[in-house]
Amino acid sequence: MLLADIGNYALIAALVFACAATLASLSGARLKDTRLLLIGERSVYAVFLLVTVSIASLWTMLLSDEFAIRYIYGHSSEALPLAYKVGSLWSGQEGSLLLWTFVLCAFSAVAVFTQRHRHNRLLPVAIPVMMVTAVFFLFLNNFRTNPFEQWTGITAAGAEVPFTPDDGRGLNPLLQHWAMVIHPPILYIGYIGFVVPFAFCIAALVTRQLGSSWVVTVRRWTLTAWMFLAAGILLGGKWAYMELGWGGYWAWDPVENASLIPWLTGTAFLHSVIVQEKRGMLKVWNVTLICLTFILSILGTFLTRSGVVSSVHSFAQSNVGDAFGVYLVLTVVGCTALILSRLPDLRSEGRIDSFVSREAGFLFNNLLFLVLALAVLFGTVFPIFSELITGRVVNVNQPFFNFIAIPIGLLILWLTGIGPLLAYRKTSHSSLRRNFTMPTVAGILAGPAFYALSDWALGGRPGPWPLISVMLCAFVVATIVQEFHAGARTRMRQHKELYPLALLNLTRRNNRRYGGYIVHLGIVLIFIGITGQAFTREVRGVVGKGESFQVGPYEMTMDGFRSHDDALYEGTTIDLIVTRNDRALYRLSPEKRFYKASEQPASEVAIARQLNHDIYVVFAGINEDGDKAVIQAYINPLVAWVWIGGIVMILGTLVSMLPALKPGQSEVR
Amino acid sequence: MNVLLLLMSVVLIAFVVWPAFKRGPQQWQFSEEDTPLGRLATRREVLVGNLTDLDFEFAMGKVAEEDYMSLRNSLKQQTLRIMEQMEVLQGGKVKASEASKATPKAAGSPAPAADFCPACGQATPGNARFCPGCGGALVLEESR
Repeated sequence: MLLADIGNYALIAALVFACAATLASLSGARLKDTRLLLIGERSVYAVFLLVTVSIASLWTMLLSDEFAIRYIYGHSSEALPLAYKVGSLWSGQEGSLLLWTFVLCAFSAVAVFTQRHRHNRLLPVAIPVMMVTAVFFLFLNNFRTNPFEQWTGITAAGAEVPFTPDDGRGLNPLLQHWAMVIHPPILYIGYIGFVVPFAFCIAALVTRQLGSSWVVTVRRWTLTAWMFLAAGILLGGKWAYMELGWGGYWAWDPVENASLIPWLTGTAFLHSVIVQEKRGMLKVWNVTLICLTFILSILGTFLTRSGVVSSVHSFAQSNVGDAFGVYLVLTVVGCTALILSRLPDLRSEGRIDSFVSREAGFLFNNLLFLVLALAVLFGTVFPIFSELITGRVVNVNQPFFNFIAIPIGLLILWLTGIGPLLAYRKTSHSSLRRNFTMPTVAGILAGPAFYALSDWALGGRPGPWPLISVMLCAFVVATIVQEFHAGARTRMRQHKELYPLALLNLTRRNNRRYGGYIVHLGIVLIFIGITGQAFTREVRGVVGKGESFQVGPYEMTMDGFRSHDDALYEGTTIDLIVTRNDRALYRLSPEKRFYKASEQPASEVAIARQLNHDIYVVFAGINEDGDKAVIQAYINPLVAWVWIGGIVMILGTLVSMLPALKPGQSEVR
Repeated sequence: MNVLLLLMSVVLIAFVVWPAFKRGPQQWQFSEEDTPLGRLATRREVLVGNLTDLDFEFAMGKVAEEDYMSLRNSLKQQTLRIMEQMEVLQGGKVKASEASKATPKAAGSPAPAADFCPACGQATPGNARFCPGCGGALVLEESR
């Protein structure tokens, strides 16, 4: 098996070169020898090349159905559509970890290439940090979760011979969905992207170069990682919504939490880093937050990959758990020791003069994000500890998470509106009055308006939390509108520009801030979508052909069964005609499938999307007499705004990553 | 196949160890941004950015006048300190052109004081009419 050997060889060679990169860079920095440093840099490129060769050979074998490879046998089959074959590379542990390594090495190579002239003081320490991480993952790839292992049969004489099964066991049906094809790589880019800011942070700590320089360097890297992590989390939600068939997109599942936790600390870092850049403050916070974000990313991978959250026993069976444990403990101890030893160098250049200042706002923001992250982490790992201590798994369920996350989330939302309007150092009463009058009025007016309209628009009266949420959303939107409007008016006055042009140039001139406002707008839209969950309606209908049942304002009439049979699966579809006030609106066709290769059932939901609500139907099964379909129908208000908000958030992040216009650089005329 | 893998290894090793045989200076030179002067320059850029932002926020009506004056003053002082340190490191004066580039003029009323002598680049106190360095007249710019 030529390709398997090439892949295996490349993995071993990559491990050797990653060690070489670490040693050459460290000794180069110590001896101040350019040749060694260059060898270190080139070794990083070599590692990237080798891992690329390895992943390419696994991919090629996946696409050409080489079922002699155990991994391919377990995660693919001949009848699987091409897109899913491509995605099955990351559908199991071995492939996922290889993808992890690949993304890590790609990031390292790009970081080295782009920073080699700019930061040759930090780079010789940053390279070993990235490459030690690579060594750890390459160790797993080579010795614990090798994706190139082959089947062997034993002949009658007792000799081992290669053995090729006829067909694979197929891809888990739940993973046969477009969101699942792109979700893992996007999420991984998010997780692993934090390795670059982490490496530069460690380099800054080691070399004691703790001013604004490293912070400025890692800004785009952090934004990129953060954006991909956000997109990955949302795609995961989208997948859960469309594939799991319980009507929601977020269940505080440990795997979901694992990706949310580093995103929360990463968000805190992105904000608090601005204070270091502008005022030389919160330095200890920043190094701690980025180390924490990286460690939590690794912990996230560990939680999802070791199986520890489902049970401590599966952790014991897993062949990566112990290695992850050792790596995590070493990283935590190393980071803590390094930060403690550098505390004198991390002294703040300023102090917080007033609680009504932007610095103080950022500090509260950090605290809230950190508390939320730690609470979610606590809830996620609690079952592990309860099982270790009492021998019984005590699961922390949704009410706990909602109890913590709703108030903190709303406080953060409130700060989203307040923070940008506060000035650095202090804000006087007249400034406060000037800036907050309009948004506060908007927020207060939104309350009764929402209460009055909610019955008609969402089919129910809001409780206190949804009401507060909507009022805060209105407040934040008003602050954002006010910022854009006042900025554009000022530009019109100063530069004699037309309003739309002034808006555009305003954003272009200070794309970081205004891009940030667009991200905030996306967050508000997501909050609106989440608020809609409080108004979800659920109906179970058992109907035969021609019969109908009522879901909210809609009538659903069953129009018969259809069946489907091909090489991949057998399926039964039911057709439902959705009418409102005797007008036919949609034809929804949920399906039940049975996948042949994996011998697993799956359910395909049908959704009619509207901006005010989704109509979501699941074909739950057939009744005991075998003549009627059991249908679970949901009205999910405002769900669309979660996805729209996600897109707005990503657009905002892209705007804030645009290269800044230098003074004098031409604007749009 | 073994030949192929061997060849690949040789090429990669050659690529990686090539710099060991390079001639020329082998002592490590810091890139400009990683020198003390470079770091001060970065800091100065940030401070100048803060000044520009503050001016714009004041023009937007976001910052009250009393806040604006005190904030601007403290930013100006910080910029000056950084520039003095840069001067010491460079062993000479920062060029006048750089100095005037460094601190943007305050926006809106009240009329701001000149920050630097346009002739020699010397920092000047708030309401001086003549430069303490070269004696040249300091012209106050009309505010917009």
